[in-house]
Amino acid sequence: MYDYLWLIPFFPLVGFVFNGLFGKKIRNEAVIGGIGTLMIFLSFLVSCGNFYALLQDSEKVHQRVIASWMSVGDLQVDWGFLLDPLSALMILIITGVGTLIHLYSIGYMHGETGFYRFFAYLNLFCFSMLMLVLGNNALVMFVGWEGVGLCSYLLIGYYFEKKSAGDAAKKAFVVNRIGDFGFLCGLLTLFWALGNKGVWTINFVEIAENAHLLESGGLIVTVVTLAFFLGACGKSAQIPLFTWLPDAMEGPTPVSALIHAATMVTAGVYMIGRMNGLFAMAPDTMMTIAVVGACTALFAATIGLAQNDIKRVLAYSTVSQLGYMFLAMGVGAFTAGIFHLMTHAFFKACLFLGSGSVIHGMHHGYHHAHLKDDPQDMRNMGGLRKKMPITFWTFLLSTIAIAGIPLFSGFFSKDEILWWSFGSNRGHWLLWLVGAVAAGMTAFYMFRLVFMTFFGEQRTDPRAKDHIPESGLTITIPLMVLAALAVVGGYIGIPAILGGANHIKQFLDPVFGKAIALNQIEAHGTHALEYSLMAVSVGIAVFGIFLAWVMYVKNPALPARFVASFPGLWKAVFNKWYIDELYDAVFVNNCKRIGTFLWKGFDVRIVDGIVNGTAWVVKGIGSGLRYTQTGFLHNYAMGMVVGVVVIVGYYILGK
Amino acid sequence: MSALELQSLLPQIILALGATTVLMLGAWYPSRKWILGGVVIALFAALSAGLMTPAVPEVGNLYSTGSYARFFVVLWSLLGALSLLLSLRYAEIHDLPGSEYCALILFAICGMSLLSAATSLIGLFLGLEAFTLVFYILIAFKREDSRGAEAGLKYLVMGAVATGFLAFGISLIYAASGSFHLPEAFAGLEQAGGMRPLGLAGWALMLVAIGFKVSLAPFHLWTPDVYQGAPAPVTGLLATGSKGAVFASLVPLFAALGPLKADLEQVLWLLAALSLLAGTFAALPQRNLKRMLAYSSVVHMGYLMIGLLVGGSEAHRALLFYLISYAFATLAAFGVLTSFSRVDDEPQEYADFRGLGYLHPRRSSLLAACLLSLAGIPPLVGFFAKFGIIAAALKGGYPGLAVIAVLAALTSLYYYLAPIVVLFMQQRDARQLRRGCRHEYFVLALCFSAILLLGVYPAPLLDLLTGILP
Amino acid sequence: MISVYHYLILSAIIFSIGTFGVLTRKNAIVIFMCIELMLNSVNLTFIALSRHLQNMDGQIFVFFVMAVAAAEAAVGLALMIAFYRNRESIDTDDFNMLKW
Repeated sequence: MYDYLWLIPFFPLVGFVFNGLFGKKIRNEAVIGGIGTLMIFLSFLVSCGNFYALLQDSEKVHQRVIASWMSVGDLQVDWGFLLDPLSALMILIITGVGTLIHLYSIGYMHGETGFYRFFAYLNLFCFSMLMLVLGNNALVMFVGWEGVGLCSYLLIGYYFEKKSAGDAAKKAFVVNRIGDFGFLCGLLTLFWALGNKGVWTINFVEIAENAHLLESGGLIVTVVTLAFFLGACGKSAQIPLFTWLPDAMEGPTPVSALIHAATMVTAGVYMIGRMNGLFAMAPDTMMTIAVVGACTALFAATIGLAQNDIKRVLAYSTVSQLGYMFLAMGVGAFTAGIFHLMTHAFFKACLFLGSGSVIHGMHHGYHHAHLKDDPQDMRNMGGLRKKMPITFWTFLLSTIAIAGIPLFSGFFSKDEILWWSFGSNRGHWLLWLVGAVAAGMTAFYMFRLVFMTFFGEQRTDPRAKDHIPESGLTITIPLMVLAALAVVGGYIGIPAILGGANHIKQFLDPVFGKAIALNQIEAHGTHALEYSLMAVSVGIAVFGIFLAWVMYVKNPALPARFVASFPGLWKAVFNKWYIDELYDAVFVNNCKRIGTFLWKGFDVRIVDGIVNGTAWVVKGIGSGLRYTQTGFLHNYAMGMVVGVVVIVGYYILGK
Repeated sequence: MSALELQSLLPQIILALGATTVLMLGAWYPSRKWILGGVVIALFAALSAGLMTPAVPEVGNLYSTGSYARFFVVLWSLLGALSLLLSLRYAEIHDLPGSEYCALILFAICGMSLLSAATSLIGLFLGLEAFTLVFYILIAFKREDSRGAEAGLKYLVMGAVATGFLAFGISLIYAASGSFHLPEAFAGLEQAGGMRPLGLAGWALMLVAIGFKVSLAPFHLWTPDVYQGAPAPVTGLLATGSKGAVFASLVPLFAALGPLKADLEQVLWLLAALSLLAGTFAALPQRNLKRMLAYSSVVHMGYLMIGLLVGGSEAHRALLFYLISYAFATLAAFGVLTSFSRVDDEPQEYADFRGLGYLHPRRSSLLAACLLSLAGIPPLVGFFAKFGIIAAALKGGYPGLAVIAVLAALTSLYYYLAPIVVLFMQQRDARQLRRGCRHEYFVLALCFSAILLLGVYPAPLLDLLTGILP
Repeated sequence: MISVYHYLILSAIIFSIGTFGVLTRKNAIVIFMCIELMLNSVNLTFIALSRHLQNMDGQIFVFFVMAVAAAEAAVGLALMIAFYRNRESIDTDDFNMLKW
């Protein structure tokens, strides 16, 4: 079975090539969408086969090399795939959720001008993402890493006529570049450091085997892992590189669901999981990761409290949940992090698709009434429960799951993370506290979202309110499947204390067990403690839900009063704590000023298309250099002669 | 010169004689079909270089006929043939005289082939001047275009000064060692484990001239002007062949230098770093594709310089691989520009490309692919080439340069993406440009498959390069 | 006694004068003359060295340099005519269409 591993990324690639080349001519949406969906479904089937084979197999790590890519001296790099429990789980999530979202897109993107373009990009994204998780060495992973970034960029800017979409794409691109820089620096430093020990390799299995050559807790390991973590921050939208993800909601909703919730943004978590051997050796980095993760979880949750755009709430929620995953990685709960990655993929994809269904309905209504209102603003919704029953129920189930109510999937994964952040020897009670508070906020803002959208009075413009239909089958089927998964997905990871077998822990043990044992990472505490922590976090969540119910269903005037009594706080939260403005003020404007100052003598107006601070300075230097290009022959000749004099002078004086 | 030596130099002779014949016959039978004849001659030269076994290893103590030299004869002939094919329609539209154009390109290929084969400083000088002279003419080939004349004059004046430096540098080395032939010329420079001051001064002057030819900072200032003023297919050959041939000749030159290279290291380091930085910074604010490619070529030359600096067969192999990958992507980029150009003008400002991706999707995508390959986006070949150079720098003990190289590579995406954004992500107010013709599509498809296939499966080329490296 | 060093120093001086001229003169023809000066100073070096080293190679190089110089001058004059036809000037300050 493992010999067919290459088919998994191959099918979406075929879909991409087909739709990219012929899509424009075909014009038939059923064919284009059908091919796109079929291809990813085929790779889902192959993934299932491989997953099943791996379950049966006693040997858990398999590498398959398709072809030699390059050999540079002792360094041998292959087009090789690595199937182990971690990547097996990831390919199942990617192809499974991917299939559902492709199916959903057929209905959602119906009638868009670039229908074929959309499916081509989506297939290309799946291909890249599968390469990312399946690659057996860092370079193949980097191919995928760049590929998903590119697709994300293309898809965020899908509605390129909208200026905001173009800007959002640029922002995502810039931030991802910073992340890529981290990744490359980490990779090259690791390559160099291991090379100094006599092992020139970038193969993951070999890196894991030879990680012990580096000094545990030493400077090199810390630098390497911190660089990798910077890369992960960029991809997975952690503080301070998270601002691009909410803006990325300019893309079509299926893109938000697939790329910016379920798969691509978890690449950073996956990467840390893939290199767990190295990370476990660097306690300082782990601490940084845990703190950054916890802070992101809390911080993004506070912003989520006050947003009115349905997709933005979900975006901040995604950032916050990714923070949980990083928290888990940071305290050594690798399994729990990956577990949460999986459950999050289910419920968040369902939530995004549900919001898409709502937006679709609202859009339909407004279109019918020839209105130009914002179909994403929750203040225009309300009472949609009866109009869109399937959407409502699936949405509700996923919301319960994300809120961490017992018996739903989110509960098991989140609770495992919280327990580790308290009990692990790499954890701290403060981390737990932050995580628990953020969990309460999550419950609050998610139910606020549900109540504002589906309950109460319908606040839609009267001309449109009766023309909001339930979405079609291609949209509701994925919703139902994902909601079911969001409910039961957690049962593979019921912790021992609740009488479960924690299958996922055993399944992933071949990947994480060695590093955890080697570095003596463990969570310890009495059962009573574990129970009480569980009870507290559930209690906080229930309280959050109750509060939301009081504020948005029982007494809808309360929020306004609250806003009136704390106007400053509310405004700060509503404006996302002014983070974008802060970045603008601290980096962009200052750099702008420095740039202007440095090149004041020159014409600054060429410096256009500002993206961010670094770009400003760099562009400033560039524009300055440009003025060395006077076009006058003398200056050019002068440049040459000065070069001669400097070089010759250097030799004469130097010798 | 014996018959055996003539036979060994056959590919270059085919090129030179072929060019002369085309030039002569063209006077009686003027036709643009000569360009196709030129393609045949170039291919013929490539075939003879590829298949023939030379009788003697070195001709007249000037030119090598080893596998390294012959590989580059094949490469430059192929590049020349491709740019001739690209020029076919272009020459028609701009009413360029076919036989002269064809003959000049063939002479240029001949010069490049001689340069890459040089085993003596005389051979080096001759080869270099042979194709530089041809480029002076080709750059200003559109007679009514005053920009072309300006670019040609600028290149000529700067080039002539560089020639002076080169000749003076060679004379100093000659003074120190009493020979032009390669290992001996440098062997005579040694003194107490280091290089004699006379040799150092000679090398400094030579480096300046070489830096000018391949446009290393700070000798790169002519590059954007000349790129902009020259006809697009000529720029394509100038950017790939002429720079590539110089680097191809530098590899054996530095190999012959041996341990004396240590004395040049700081300067080489500085040249590489400066080129990477200056090119990157200057390319960022550009809104003209040709000028942007000019600055970006400065950056690429910086990468090649790293390969040269690190030395050793591995780094040299990475250098040659980079050179080839750069050549194909650049040639294709200028090929797209060629195929877009019309009678009155060549589109090169970004404003001209706005929304073009929807009017001409195939060529626009191809241009985007070339730019992405130059930027080093996997799995296109540019990524692998960059990785090879950076890995070589790390292994060779130049982490500082490696960091600069990584930074330059990351920043490069900004300026390479700017035209792509314009092509695909802006309002479509572009006007329809010229339709491409078959020859152009053929060349473009060939280059594209090269940058894709070499990126995915570079092993055969790498093996070949390992085999030919001295 | 005039040694080879005198020749070398003389040619270095001539070379510098030529370089200086290229940098300072505005008229393209004068610039070309300066370039000729540079190249000829190189020729002087080669001939002196050839005699000093009792080695004919240097003189061969001189022929090549002369050929290159002649070809450059021919091409240069042609380019100047082409430029003059368009701009009615050969002042290098008028080479100003391509910049930035």
